[in-house]
Amino acid sequence: MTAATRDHFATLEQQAQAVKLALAAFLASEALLFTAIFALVAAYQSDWPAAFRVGIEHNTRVLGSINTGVLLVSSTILAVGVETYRDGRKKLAAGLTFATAALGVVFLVIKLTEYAEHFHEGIYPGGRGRFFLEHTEHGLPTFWTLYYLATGLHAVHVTIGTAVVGWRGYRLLRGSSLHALEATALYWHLVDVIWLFLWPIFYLA
Amino acid sequence: MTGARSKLLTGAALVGLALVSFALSYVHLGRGSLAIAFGIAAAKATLVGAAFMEIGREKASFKLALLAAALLVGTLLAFVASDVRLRGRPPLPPPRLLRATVTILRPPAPEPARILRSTNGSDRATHLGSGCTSSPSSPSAFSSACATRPTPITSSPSRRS
Repeated sequence: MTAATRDHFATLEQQAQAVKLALAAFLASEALLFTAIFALVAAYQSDWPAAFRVGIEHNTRVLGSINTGVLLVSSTILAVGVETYRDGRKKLAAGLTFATAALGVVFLVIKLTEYAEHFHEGIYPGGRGRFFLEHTEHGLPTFWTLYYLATGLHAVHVTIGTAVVGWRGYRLLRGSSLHALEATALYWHLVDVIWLFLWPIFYLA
Repeated sequence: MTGARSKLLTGAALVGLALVSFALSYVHLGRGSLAIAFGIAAAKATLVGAAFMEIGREKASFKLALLAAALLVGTLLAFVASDVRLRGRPPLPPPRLLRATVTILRPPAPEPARILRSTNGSDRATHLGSGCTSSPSSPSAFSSACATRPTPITSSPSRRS
């Protein structure tokens, strides 16, 4: 039994497999959570397509698209980091993990900039603010409330992911295992995949 | 090709697909735009799942958990889609006995409003027999008697625009 193996596992491989399975169940629950929100958006968009078009036209498309690029690049860097660790270059892998966490911070800063822009325009959740006095389309408050709900929940996931990835980078310098890095990367890639669907719904379509 | 290089190529493909999505958002494609954007998003998600998450290399238990999630996601979306498609249609007519019961229990329809000319010349609508009045300048200013009046069973207006 190796030092990193917990008491109730026979081998490190078995422990890693248990972690992966637990993570798969967690990712599945996350996918269901966000699918429920996607379904909600799709149903309301079917009811009020004109209002949702107005909402998307008023959204910060460029900033949202830059954030898509940031997440895609961060996922790529982390995937390369995992490969680098497998090749035995642990310090480079730790550096790439820190770079991923830094891009997570960039994503959050851009997201906060977007929110600040919306607040400046008078767009608040629940249809509050002067924007809704000037734009009276039925369903527009629903669009913006769903926007804040979905992107806010995703931002919470990015915040947690950034902290976990940063911590993993620190642990890599102290000899953390490949399995732990792979599990962290799985979570970060899921956050990326969720954003890939949020982006067209609220910024592009 | 080394693993790192294949990851970099996948990343480049993902950014390329994102740029295509961004460019297409400025082209007016009508109702198909969301389907195209979602198709590209699904392609990107598949790339991330296959190349970055390496789902194909995981054990069967891992794949089974994701497969269960995919089935549940599909079920949820199918029911939502059917609800959205069918909710505008009227329901099936109730059986004859139930229909008769509904007719008996239905509150009386409101009597028609009549525009009366008052002595000071202002028009007002009077709901006969109810004591409720409203003026054209403030139609919402019903008297309190109207607030307790049972509302007739009517179909709610469609929210579709």
